[in-house]
Amino acid sequence: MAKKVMAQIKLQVEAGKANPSPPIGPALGQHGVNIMDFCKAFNARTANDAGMIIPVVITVFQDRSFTFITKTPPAAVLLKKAAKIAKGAGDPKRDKVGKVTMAQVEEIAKIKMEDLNANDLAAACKIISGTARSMGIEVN
Amino acid sequence: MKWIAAKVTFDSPDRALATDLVADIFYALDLKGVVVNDPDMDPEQDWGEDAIRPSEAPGVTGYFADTESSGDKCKTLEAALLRLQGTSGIETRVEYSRIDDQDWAEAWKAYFWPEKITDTIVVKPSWREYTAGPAEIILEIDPGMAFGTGTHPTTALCIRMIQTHLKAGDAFLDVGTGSGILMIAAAKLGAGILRGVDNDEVAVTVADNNLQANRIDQKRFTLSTGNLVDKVNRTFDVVAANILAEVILELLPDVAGLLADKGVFICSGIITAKKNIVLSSLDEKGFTVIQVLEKEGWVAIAARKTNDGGSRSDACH
Repeated sequence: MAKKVMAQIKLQVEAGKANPSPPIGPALGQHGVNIMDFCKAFNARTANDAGMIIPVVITVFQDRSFTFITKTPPAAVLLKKAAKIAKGAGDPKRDKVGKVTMAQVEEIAKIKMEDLNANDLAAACKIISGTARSMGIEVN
Repeated sequence: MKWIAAKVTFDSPDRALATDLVADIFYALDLKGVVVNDPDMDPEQDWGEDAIRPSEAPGVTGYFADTESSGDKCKTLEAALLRLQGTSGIETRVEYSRIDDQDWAEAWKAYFWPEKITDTIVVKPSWREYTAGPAEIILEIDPGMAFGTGTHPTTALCIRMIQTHLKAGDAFLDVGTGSGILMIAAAKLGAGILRGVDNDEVAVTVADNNLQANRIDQKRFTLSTGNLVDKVNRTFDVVAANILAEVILELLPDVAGLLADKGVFICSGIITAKKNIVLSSLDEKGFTVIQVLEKEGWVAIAARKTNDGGSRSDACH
């Protein structure tokens, strides 16, 4: 009989750098998941994305075994990388902290397509552009 | 160590955008990760009757170390959330709670039981009772916050290989020793001197405690904190590295110099997708692959140091 799911945990974690400190420790420990086993598996799977923040969904079964899937990095993280800035604007209506081209937006939209609630690339670009504006990043 | 959990919940028709923007505020405060609370349960999962439901409000939780500067960080967070509301219309609320790392560090232990990982070797958590059968070798372990419970496929494969290739009296080096479980296994399988290196001080302390709990004579083993092979200045008959493929590839040029003539390098922690890269690199560095084991998407490889700098035999499965 297939194992029943007990909980699902959603985290964002730096690729290749998972360790038992928060957020991983408290999020997994409270469900009885072996924290270090998760860290090892996550680090192995994300080693090639060093420096990126990776969303991960961990499914915990009743026997405390687990599986996980990684998703594409958050749009905000990809936009900051494209605009070569460390953080978004405090007041994005007034302050413009960086610029990205439409081609960069399209590139990010293609990366994010599988995780976005968008019917086509144009809709995905619109979502990414909206995120950029909310961070004070201009789209040219 | 104590931590402050800052749980930010929000009302927004665009949850994905709100999650991104709130998480980004935490990243601007130097956090390297967050918990995302999504109230929707995945309908495709086969949920148990006792499933733990997420709380109803969507949100993002970040953790600050509870230090003198944590008050400033909380104020900076609140100011950034206020600006977010003004500019994006995302209404947020923040709640704080204090937690201790002991609250979670022990929780998983309730689910860790003795497990036979080879035909004769049993890994026994230090907090469990187990009566050894005839010819059984017991590795008693409390991994604490170090890598290596012994039951993970990477460790289990590594121990199987040590059992196969280690001879009585062999000098054994464990690179990235973690909980010390491979050193304990090697000691109980008859190794001579044992050396362990880890770049994590916590791991070295945990390994020391575990070796002593297994009554390994302190004169037999040395542990040190450092950059893997930096402080090692002798050769070994068996070198084990249960780390990650990327680290193993970096180590390879140094490993040959640490192995005695015809010594065996056992590497584990390799995901299946990286298997061929490691095999090729071993070949390039003049190792002969003598065994490859695979379990649940993980690969362990044993390779012998050869002096011809070349040929590779067929791997045994």
